[in-house]
Parts: sequence; C-alpha cells; structure tokens
Amino acid sequence: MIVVPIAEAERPRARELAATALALVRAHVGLPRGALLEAWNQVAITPAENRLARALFKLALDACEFEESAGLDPVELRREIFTSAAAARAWGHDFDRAAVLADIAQARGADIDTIEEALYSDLPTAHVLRKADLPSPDGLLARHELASHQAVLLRAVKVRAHVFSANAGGYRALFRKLKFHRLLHAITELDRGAGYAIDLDGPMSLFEQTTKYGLSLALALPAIMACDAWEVRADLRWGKDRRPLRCHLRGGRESLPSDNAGLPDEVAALLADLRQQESPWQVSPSEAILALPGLGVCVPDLEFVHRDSGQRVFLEVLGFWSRAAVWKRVEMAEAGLPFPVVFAVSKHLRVSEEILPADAPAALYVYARTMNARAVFERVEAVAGRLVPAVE
Amino acid sequence: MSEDATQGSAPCLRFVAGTIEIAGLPANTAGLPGGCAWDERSACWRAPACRYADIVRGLRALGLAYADEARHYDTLTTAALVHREPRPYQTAALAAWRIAGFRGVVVLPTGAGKTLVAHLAIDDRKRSTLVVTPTLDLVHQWHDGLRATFGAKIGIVGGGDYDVQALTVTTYDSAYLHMEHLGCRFGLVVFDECHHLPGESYALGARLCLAPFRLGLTATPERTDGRDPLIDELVGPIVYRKDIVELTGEYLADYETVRVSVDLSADERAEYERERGLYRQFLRDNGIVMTGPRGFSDFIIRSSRTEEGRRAFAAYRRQREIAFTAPAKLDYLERLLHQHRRDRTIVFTQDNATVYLLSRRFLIPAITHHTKVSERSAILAAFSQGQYAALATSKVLNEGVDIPEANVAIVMSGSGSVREHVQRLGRILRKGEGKRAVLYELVTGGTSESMTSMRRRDHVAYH
Repeated sequence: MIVVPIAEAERPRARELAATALALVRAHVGLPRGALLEAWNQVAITPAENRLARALFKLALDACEFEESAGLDPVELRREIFTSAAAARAWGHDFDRAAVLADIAQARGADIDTIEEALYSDLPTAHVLRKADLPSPDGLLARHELASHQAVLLRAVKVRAHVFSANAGGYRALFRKLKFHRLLHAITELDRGAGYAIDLDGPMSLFEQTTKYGLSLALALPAIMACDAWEVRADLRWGKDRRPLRCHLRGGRESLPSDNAGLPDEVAALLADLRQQESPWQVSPSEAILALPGLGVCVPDLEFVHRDSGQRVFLEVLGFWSRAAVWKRVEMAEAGLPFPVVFAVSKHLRVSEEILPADAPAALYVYARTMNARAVFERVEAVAGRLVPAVE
Repeated sequence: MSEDATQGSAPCLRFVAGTIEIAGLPANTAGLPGGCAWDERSACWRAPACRYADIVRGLRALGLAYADEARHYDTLTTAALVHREPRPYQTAALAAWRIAGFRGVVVLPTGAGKTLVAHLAIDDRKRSTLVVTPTLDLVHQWHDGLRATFGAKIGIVGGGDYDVQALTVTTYDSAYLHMEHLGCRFGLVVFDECHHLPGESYALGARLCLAPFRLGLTATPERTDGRDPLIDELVGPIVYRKDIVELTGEYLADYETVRVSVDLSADERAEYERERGLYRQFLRDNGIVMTGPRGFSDFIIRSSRTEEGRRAFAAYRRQREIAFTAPAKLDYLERLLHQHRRDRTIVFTQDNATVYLLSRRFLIPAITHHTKVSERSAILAAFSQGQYAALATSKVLNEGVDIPEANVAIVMSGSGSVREHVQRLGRILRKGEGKRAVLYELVTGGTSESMTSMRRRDHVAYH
C-alpha cells in the first residue's frame, strides 16, 4: 500500500476547498453548529473530491470550540415542561401542547419561541461556535496529510521506523513521546550515526494480528515525522476482511502540529514529591539518551545531580512495560552503563529487586501502586556509590 | 541473569500482557496443548491467556511439575450474605453450567433473572470475579446488585473509575483496554449480554483473560453476522436455554403484541413511491443486494461516488423518513399515549432524529446517547415513580437497563433485527402484581416497513 499525498495538479483545488471550509467556519462564529453544517452541505463538491472535502471540513471543525448557549437551562426546562405535560395528559382531556408551553413561557417571562428553541439547546447541533483556532489553507492540507497517515496506522499490527535526527534533542523528544504513549518498543542504534531503528509490537502479535496498539502508534507519528529523516514500514490489517497489507511512509522534517509530550503523569507526580523532600540531590527531567552498541538504548525520565559532587544518577520508569524490557535493562546494566541508573518497575511485572548484582551500576526499584520519593532517593544513594566511568 | 534463567528447572507459567508465557521448556517440547507457540523473541512458549486452563491440564497430563506465577486471583473469603430463593429454572441453569465444567452460556429472556444466576455462580465458585457489561448503566446496576448480595466492596473499571476489587464490574470497552493488565486477577468472568462478545476488540479482551471459569448471559445469542461460534470458543457452549413463551405467566408478565398498520395519504404515497423508485433503480443499476451482509456498506460507498448516487442516497433517506414518521402514525401514537396515560409507556424509534421529533411534539422525555447520565437517571426515576407516563428512546434502552414498571412498548420504527425486537419486548416483561404488558408495533402499510416488520417478528415470542 502506498499512501499518496495530494498530487501537485490537484493541489490548487484542494487549497480552494480548504480555504472554503475555513471561510465558512470563520463566518459562523457565534452561530449554531447546525447552521454551519447546513451551509457546508450547500458547497458544490464533485463526487470525486467528496472524501477530501469532508476530511478538510472535519479537520477545520476540530479546530473549533463550541459551547451551549447561555440562557435557559435546558435540562431544568425539559423537566418542567415534561412534568407539566404528563400532568396535563393525565387529566384525560385532549392534550393541548400549546397550552402547556404557554403556561411555562408565562411563568418564566419568556415567549413560546424562546422556550421551543431552548428545549434542546444542549444538543450538539445547537451548540454555538465560540472561537476557532484555524490554520492557513496550506496548514489545513498539512494536517490532512498527517491525519491520512495516522488513519493508516490505526490498522497497524506492527511497525518498524528508521529515524535520523541531526541533533540529540530530536531523538529525546521522540523517545519521550514513545514512552508517554506506553508503546512497547525496542530501539537499536544504526551504524555510523545513521540514526535508530525502532520496533513496535506486542506479545499477542504471535497469535493474532491485533490493531490494539494502532491508536498509540498513530499518536506517536508526529514525533517520528519531526525527525530530520524518517521512514515507517507498517504491517496492516485492512478493511472488513482484515487483508494483510504493508504500508510504507517516508519523509523529511515536517512542521506539524504535535502536542508537547510532557512527563507521564506518574513521573510528574514523582518529580513533585522528590522536590518536596530535603535531599542533597537536585532532580530534573532527563535529557539524556544512554546507548550501548548492540544492546539498545535507555531513555531515562529523571536526572539526579548531587549538589556537592556534581555526580549524576538517572531514573527510568518502566512501569507496566513488559518483563522483556526489564531483562533488556538488566543486560545493559551487566554490560556496563555509562551512568548509574535506577529502573522503576511495577510489581505487576513480577520481578525481584535482587536480580541485579549488588555491585552493578544500576538498581531495580519495584513499587506497588505509586512510586515513593524516599524509596527512590534510597536507591539513588545506593547506586551512586557504584561509580562507573562517565562516558557520553 | 537473563530471561532464560529458569530453563533447566521446572517450567514456570507467567501472565504477560494478556498471554501465558511458559518459560523453562525447550523449543522442541512435544505434547503441549493447542494454541501454544514457540516465541523466538523471548525464547519461551507462549499462548493467549484464555488457554490457561488447557495449559495447566496439558502440563499435568505430561506429568510435568511447574510453577504457576500466572494466576493472581483469590478465593473469596466471604459468601453471599443475601440468599434469594432461586426459581427452578435458575437452579437448573446453574446445574447445567456446573456439568459443562463451569464454562458456558445461559440463555434466559429479559426479566427472568439472569443476574441471580450469575450471583449463584460466583457464590458457587468463590473466585475473584470480573463482570463485563455493554454499558456504564449496567455497570452501576451490577455494582449495586453485587454489593447487596455479597456485602463487599465492589470494584469498577470504566467511566473514569479504576478500582479493582475481588468482585469488579467493567464494560466491554474497558475490558479491551485493560485486560492485558487485569487478565490474571480473576478466576471467573461473567459476560453479560454476551452476544456482544464476538466483536473483534471485545473478543480480544476475552482472549487476554486467563479466567478458567466463564459464564455468558444473554436473551438473544444469535447474531446475523455468523460469528456466534466465537462465543463457544471464548465462553463455552449454550448450556441452558428458556424462551419467553416458556416463562410467560408464571415468571414473566402476561403480554400481547398488537400490530397496527397505518396508511399514507395520496400525496405522501406519491412522494414515497417516487423516492423509493429512484433509490431502487440505483441498487439495480449497481447490482447491490441490500439484504446481503455488505449490502448497506456497498450502497454507502457507491452512492458517494457519483451525483446520481448522492441523489439515490437522499432518496433512500427520504422514503425511510416518510415511512417512519407518517402523519397517520403520529396521530395514532397520540391516541395510544392518551389511552395509556395511566400506564408506563416506552416509545422506541429507529433513529435519534425521530426521538427528538416525538419528544418535541408530544412533550415527553427523550433518552438517547446524547442524554447525560444525571438527566437519564432522573428521567428513569421519574418514570418509575409515575411522574412521567411515557418516554421516547431509540436504541439505548434496547437492552439491560431494568425498568420494572414499564408495561407498554410502542415500536414506532426499528430495524429488521429479531434480537432488537425481542429485547424491546423484554423491557416490559418484568413480572409485577397483576401486570399485563402490551407491545404495539406501528407500521406504515405498503412500504418497506411491512417487510422489515415481518423479518423482526420471526421469533417464537410473536407467534
């Protein structure tokens, strides 16, 4: 399968459709969503461009903020109207809808039209477009291309990406993103600074080609596409009959909207706790990548720097990752990491802290529900004594 | 230290992300149960977690001692505190499930007390149990029922909650998301409304769980997509079955079904025929068979490709709209709402647009997937107490939610699905003192609705 970008010849018309969608949205600020949808339906679109047009309009809608109109509370209004109507019907005379509404309108000091309008003003079609943070037509087309690639990856069962970045910051952003999305990945450094190969799949792929991880893969794509050069090969299951297909994407650095992947929640909470403790260690989010040729890459989450000696210790949170990821870190520790590292592992992974030798430049911290700041500092202190040659 | 450290010693079973790893057996081991495969990536045997019981039996049959680190479920220390006397068919259902090796599906009509069968099964097995349901409403319904019966803290996973207890309730969606972490923590899993299970992601959720004991509950096990056999694989065979007509009178409310045919006016008829003709011609020209398994999706795809197709699709929608909301139907509904103003009436439609149309026109509350949980609960409570005598809904109340006071159902429109129609009938059959239920089906005569109605009534409950 080849995901084809919009052809150059079709680009002017695509830009025109994007501009139309954006203009319509701008013109409907302050109006209900239903009016915007109705206006869009009046746009002349040929069947051949229908799919592209709908996609562009959807992306334009994604940039909009809608909210319920401030006025009568529709839930309370409905309760009042339906209760009155039920009581009126129970009398047994012919049901007089207008009389019920007139009574309510009078009691609320409003006219019947206002009451009718407010009755279901909380339905999505009645929501009012408050503001829209819209890109340019070319920006909308770029979002469309990203979304097209992501839509393909939703059906992915296995992905291999090759990435190259001219600076280490690009890799760090990518690896942090992969960790943020809890993607099971193996990272291998390619020869002669050619970048990294990243494999993403899961244990169940041995038995059935599951697309369970597709959403995470799709969400990580913007970070891959932000590298200076990248290539993705994805094994897909396509369509209702889940036909096996292979998809190939490649490109250079793309300027794409990408949510800024901060620290995972549990790491951010731990960092806050650590900073509240009195300690000789200064703690900050890590920017390092620790690579061991042939063994893989470790991407720590936090860095501890001793205030007096300047010694550095790292913490990588493996959390609920696979046991295989833990064994990989154990192998790396045995082979010799360039810095002392504490690996934090959920007890659900059923590993013992004793599997690492006492003199290894690394320690395992097995935690039950949440990581404890004191316990982390204890391990940091313990591994800090096991000095290793500092190599970057 | 490596992953193979246990090789040479007794094999060890571990639960890893919804699979069972068998470490410590060489790649050439013969005689392992079906479903096990050698995993080069981690140099161990591996199987989907649902094969756990087979693996344990297989290792025993091979005479191999093994360490079991996979199973992390508990034996319940407390029994049921409340013992409701089961009806004879509920006792028989439990016995059949036991005989089948504590795996299988119990088929009972809505209102017959499937929940009690599950409570009996949990009390029988006394293992940590996960109940999987289709909706959050049902999660809360099960939560309250389990807490009342077992007097224990009941966990909930889903809808923003993540609290795992020995007895936990979740949705099929959450089970799919979380089973790779939770799948080792339950010995018994109850699949409520288990006809949902053969969906691709829901089935995966069931495969990622190692629970050896499995109970499926449904009123309508048959699916139109031919994936029913998957229920057998993931839960077990149907071990017990009773249909509505077998329980009506003694255990379910007496009921009658009334089919009302209304006519279109001459103008409506002309418009209906014109629009339907356009749509049917497009089907013929493109060789689309709407009753085939892919008929509708074929129609959607092909109609979007040409101007003629888009016109055909508009015609399709219009002719349905004419049939579903024929003015004569609406007039008849007004009569029925008046006639049953002292009853509790649920009006069912095929789509949300009609629900809101009815709600606005007759000033009765509406429940759709847009209705927020708090308002929905308030509407159902007011309906139960008699503050509202009628409500309109589309498909969201088709199954599960317990509304014992409802005694009149009016099907304004619906699909050709037998299951949907039986479920809608089931909503009004909960037994009550002197209760007699009635289901009206309003059909616009001389339209495609007549055929749809015949298809959905193809069930013993309507004979």
